This record gives sequence, structure tokens and C-alpha cells, in this order.
Amino acid sequence: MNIAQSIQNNTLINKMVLTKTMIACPLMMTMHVNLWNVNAIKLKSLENKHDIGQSVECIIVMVQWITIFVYISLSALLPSFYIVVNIKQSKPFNTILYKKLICLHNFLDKMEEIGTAEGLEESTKTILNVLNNSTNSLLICADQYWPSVAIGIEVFNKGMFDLKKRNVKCRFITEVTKENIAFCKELLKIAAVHHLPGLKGNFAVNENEYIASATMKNLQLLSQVVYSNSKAVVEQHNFFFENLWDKSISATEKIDEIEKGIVPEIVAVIKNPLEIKNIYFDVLKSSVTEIMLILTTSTVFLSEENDGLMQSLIDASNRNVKIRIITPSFSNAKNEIDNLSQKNKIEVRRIESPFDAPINILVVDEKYSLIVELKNDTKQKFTEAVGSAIYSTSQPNVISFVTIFDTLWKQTELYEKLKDADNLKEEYIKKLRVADKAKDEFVNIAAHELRTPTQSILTFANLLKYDVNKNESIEAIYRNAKRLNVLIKNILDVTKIESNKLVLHQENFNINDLLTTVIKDYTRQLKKPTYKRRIKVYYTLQSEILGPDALIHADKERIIQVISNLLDNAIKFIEKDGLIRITLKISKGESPHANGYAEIIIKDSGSGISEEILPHLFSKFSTRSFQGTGLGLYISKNIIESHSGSMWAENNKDGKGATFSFRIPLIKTDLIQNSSGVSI
Amino acid sequence: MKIKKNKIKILIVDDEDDITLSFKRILEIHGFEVDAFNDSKLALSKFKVNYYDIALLDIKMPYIDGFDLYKKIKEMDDNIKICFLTASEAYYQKFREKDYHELSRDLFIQKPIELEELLKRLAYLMK
Repeated sequence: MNIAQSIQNNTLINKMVLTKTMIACPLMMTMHVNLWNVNAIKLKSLENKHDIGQSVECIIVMVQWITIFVYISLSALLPSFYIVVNIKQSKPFNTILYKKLICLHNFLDKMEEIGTAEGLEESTKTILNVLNNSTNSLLICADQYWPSVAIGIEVFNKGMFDLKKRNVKCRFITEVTKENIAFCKELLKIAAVHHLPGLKGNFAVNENEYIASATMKNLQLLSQVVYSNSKAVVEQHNFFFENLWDKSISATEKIDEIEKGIVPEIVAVIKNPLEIKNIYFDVLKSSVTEIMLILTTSTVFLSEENDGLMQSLIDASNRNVKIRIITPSFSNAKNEIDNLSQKNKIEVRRIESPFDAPINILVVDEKYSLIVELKNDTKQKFTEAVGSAIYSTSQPNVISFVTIFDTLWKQTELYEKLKDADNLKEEYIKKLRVADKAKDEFVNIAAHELRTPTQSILTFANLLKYDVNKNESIEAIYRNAKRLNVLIKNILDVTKIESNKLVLHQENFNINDLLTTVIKDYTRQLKKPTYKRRIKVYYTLQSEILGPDALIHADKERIIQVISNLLDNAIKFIEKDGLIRITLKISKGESPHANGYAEIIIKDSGSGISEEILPHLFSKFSTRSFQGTGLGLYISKNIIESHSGSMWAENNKDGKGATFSFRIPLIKTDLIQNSSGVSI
Repeated sequence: MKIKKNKIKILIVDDEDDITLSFKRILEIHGFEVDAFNDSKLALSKFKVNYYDIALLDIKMPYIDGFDLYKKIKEMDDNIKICFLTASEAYYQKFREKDYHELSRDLFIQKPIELEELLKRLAYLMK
């Protein structure tokens, strides 16, 4: 651009050129004045006559420069003057002026300028000029708001895309954010773009010019721009740009990260406790899938003042975030952690061996890790307790901590299993001891039960030699031999039950008939004059079903065995005189589709069941009597259960005696009809 | 002063009817005078001081067991010779170890016992 054009255009640049000309002309004049002075001195000394000619020439040039200065000044101040004094109409002047203007232009080209454009209009024009002036390259380094200005404002958008059309090699550095991502994608259509996090300040340089703006706002024109064409400034900013370019990453990469939610990799050592606290809770709040927390002995994380952690964990749990906490078994925050775990879906595991280092490890979503060093665990305030922390989003780092956590977690699992195995072992040992004790007890009881009738048989057999009360002796021998037989049978029955070899010979029969027969036998025995006690037996039938429906499908002998066992017990525990009430209930069942059942209730007025025996009444060797093996009820219950029935017992509510009951299903009507050979 | 008669008087206490009955019968045949009780409480209440020479006591009995009965009888009659009848070795061992160290093994008769052996033991006690 030459000065003549500049004058005509009257643009900002022209004004600048004029300003420069106004400055340049006096400079040129001063230079020639000095040159003339030197020549004048030389003239005075008459050292060389040729110098006179030079001095004259100097004066002429000086006058010419003054003329040009005046002319340009007047042109600038009064544009009409330029029209009046048309350089084309005055050829000699034109020639001189043109030559001088070319000379001035060359000079001005070498002259460097720095200026400020104020106001929206001037700033915009300055920027557009720089864009337009860029012929080979343009480098722009600007903050996160610049992409919105460059793309979102039409005038700049046009200027930017023109650069591409002109094949200007451009490179841009900016900060890519979620907000400016769309503008950055547009910028990528024009040139290579890099991302520099936290970038502040804005400048652009082309081959010769530099512009800068201190502030930039989203989608707003700039109100102030600094301009310079100083070569040094341009070179400096080229250097700055290249440095920043090397330190920044590709905007495409960053855009990808943002769009895919990838966290940029950071490893930072944080020493400010407040910052540690903020990161700690921010990271917890951001959790989406999983929180892994290794707590040491610290109470600080769970103190009331810092209940933020508790709340953050509860909130995360409510968001269905999986939470796992590892803490030493001796932790002083044990109760708080237990409460937290009971009320929320938080898994807590304890590790036996203490951590050597006083640290707390937090890993969130396998993306963030925060290792907090505790400098003083006794302090209640978070900021006083923590020392420094390492915050990392670097995948290798985070994954290392995930691995550490998982290893410890598995270790606790193994430890728990080991503990469980120990407990199980203890339990087995306990059971074995109980079983052993029961076995000893049984041996004692069995020994007693074997020896007592044997003694009687021996002595009564001896008595037979003496011809005294022979019948009495024979009866006694028979009675005791029977007792031995029962003992042997019981022992065999238990063996069959335990090895699941109890065979039932089932048939259909009327339970009422069977019960009546058994009761009659007992009543006969109890009514014998030789029987010392007075025990009355009452029998009642309560039937919801009329006719022959009290049929059961069972092993008759076994059912007799059960009834006899219950009646024997009732008689045994009636000390002297008393009564036994037997009731047979025939029920249709509780629902229309349910089978009916027969319930036999034997209520005695004896001594009742002791509280000590009651919980394991139907267990083996459970006896309170001084006669008996403690096997009868165990066998009876098993017999009834093998008939799909049930048996239970309770002390009578009046405090006197006990009631034993059992229930056995009645056979279905169709089964009754189909069964042949059943006599009713 | 003990009333001496020709017959040796024996008190038998055992909760088993057949034991007391058979022992009473056989010992009476062999010249002993026998009182037998199945109920230890009744035996104690009917105990005749300075009357019996020997008491044969079962150990495992309801209400008052053999050892308690022994103590109570000894309080009333120091001269009586007492012998325990037992069908449960463990039971007598347990009690003997616990409270009655002074009782020698000779004082225990293990059921079942043959008549000849019983008569020998009674003779030994009367020495």
C-alpha cells in the first residue's frame, strides 16, 4: 500500500501512515540539516571545494522535505487540498513528490509501529486487516471464548474462512471446553487446532503483524486491540506460539475426550488441605458406578464435623453406586462404619493386619484416585488431620490402586473364609463334644437299663430254686426280659432311623379301632389289684366326619409302638394317682382341598416336662426319668414323621402334667374306595 | 445301745421294685431280716435308728439319691454299715470323685451281682 492510496482511502491504516509521515518528515529534515551542517563546517574550513556542491545539494533536499511535510500535513488536515493541488497536473512537482514519496514509503516500511485500536469498530477493523494481510501464515493463540468470537460473529467467520480460501497456513491454540466444542469443530475445518488447558490471554501473528487483546467474551466483539508490526514483537510471539503449540494437545483428541466422557489424565500432588477436602468430596459426589475406600484408623473421616463423608457415601448408595470399604478390624471408627453399613447397601470388610502407612485411599469409578496421607490422625478436623494427597486420573495409576483394593478385598474374603472355617471347626468340635457327651450318657443309660433288669432276672431265677412264690418270680423274669427286649428294639430302631432304613409295613385301618384296643389293654393292666397306683384313663372321640372315614394308611405295629410309648411315659410320670385323658380328633382339614387328619392327644396329670428337657425333648438320650433310655420319644417322632405326620408336646396350662399330641393324615376318599380288603 | 438279735438286719433302698423284691426274698431265705423301700424319702422317714446292721442303697434314685441318703442315715446312726448298689458306674464315679473321697471302692456293689458274691460281700461287711 502506498501513501497516495492511504491518503485517498482515509482508513485507520492510512491515518497511521499519515501519522508516521508526519513523524518521518521532520526526521528526514533533521537528518539533512545535520548533513548540511557537517558540509557547512567542511565548507568553512575550505578543505575540499567539492564539499560546497554537497552542502548546496543538502539544502535543496532539506527544502524539498519541508515542502513534502507541509503538503502531506495539509493533505491530512484538509483532504480537499490534495484535490486542489493535483499531483498529476504539476508534472515537475509530481516527479519530485513521487520520488520523495517512494523514498518515504521505503523508509516507512522499515519503520516499526505499536498502537492501540480503541472501540468496537476500530478493533474489528484492525483484526480484519490482520486477517486480510495474512498471505502465508496466521497463528492465533486465544482463550476458550475466542472460538465463539471467531466462528459465532459473522464478520470474523467470513474472515476466517477467507483464510482457507486463500490457502493461508493457519494454526490455532485455544482451550477446548464442553461449551465451545461446536465452534472448535468449525475451526478445525479451517486449520489445525490445539488444546491448552487453562489458557489465558489472546494474540495473533501473521508474517509481519501482531495483534493482541487482553480480554475476550463469549460471542462478543472486541473493544480494544493492541497492534504492532515490530519485527521483534512478531518474532517473539512466533516463538511463544511455537512453545505453546508443543505443550498443547490436539483439539480433536480433547473433543473426543469430552464427547466420550474421558477424563484427562492428571497426576497432582496437593498440599493444601482445603483443596484436598474439596477434591475428596467432589470426587465422591461425582461417583456413578463404584466407590472403593480404604480407611485406616482415622476417626476424622467419620467425625460429626466431617459428616460430609458419611452423607456423601449415603447419597452415593442411594444413587445405586456400589460402595466397598476396607478397614482394619481394630479401627476406632468401627462402630460408625458398622452403622453405615447396616443402614445402607455398603459392603464393609475388615482386615486383620494393620496398614503400616497412615493413608486413606479413595478410588471412584475406576477413573479417579485420591491417596490422602494423614499427618495427625487424632485431629477431628479434616484439614488438620490430612498432610498431602496425590490426586490422579491417570489410568495406570488408578488401575494400580484398583488392583491394590481388589487384592486386599480378596484377602479379607480369604480371611473371612478362614475365620468361618475356624468357626465351623469350633462348631464341629462343639457338636462332636455334645455327641460324645450324649454317647457317654447313652452308654451309661444303656448300661443301667441293661444291668437293672439283668439283676432282677438273676435274683428271681435264683429264687426259683427255693420254691417260694414261683409265679411271682416267673412273672418278674418275664417282665424284666421284656424290658431288655424293648431296650434292644429301641437301639435297633434308632440305628434304622439314622441310616434311613426304617421300613413301614403300611395298611389301611381305622385309627379309632386301634386306639380303643390299645387303651383297653392299658386299662386292664392299670386296674389289676396288684397294681399299686390308681390311674384312670378317659377316652374321647371328636369327629367332624361320620362313618368309617377315620382311616389311616400306616404301619399298625409302629402306631401301636408310638401310642404305647406316650401312654407309658404318661403313666411313668404320674407319681402315684392321677388320670390320663386321651382324645382322638378326626378333622376334615383346614381348607376344602386339604386332606383330613387324625389327631391323638394324650394329656396326663403327671409331673410335666422340665424346662431343661423341653427344648430337646424329642432328641436322642433325652430323659429325666431314672428309668428309660431317652430313645422312646425320638423313635416315636420319627415314626410319625415317616407317616407324613407331626408330633409335639407341651406342659398343661394348669401347671399339672403334660400333653403329647401327634397328627397323621387320613387317607383320601377315592383311596378308600379303591382299596380292597379293608375291613371297616 | 444297739438291740442285738440273732438275725442280721438289712435295709434295702432301690427305686426298682423288682430289685428290692428279689433281694428281700433271697436274703430272707438266707437268714437275713430285710426291710425294703422303693422310695428313698419313705425309707428315710421310716428309718429305725440303731436297728439295722447293713444298709444296701441304690445310688441313682429320684428325690434323694444314694449318697444323700447315706449322709442322712450316717447322721442318725453312725454304727450302720452302708454298701452302695449301682447299675451305672459313671454315676457313682462322678459322685465319689466329687464329694465322697472317704468311701472305699469295697463299699460299692456293681449290679448285676450273683447271689454268692452278694453273700460274701455282706459277710465281709459284718466282720
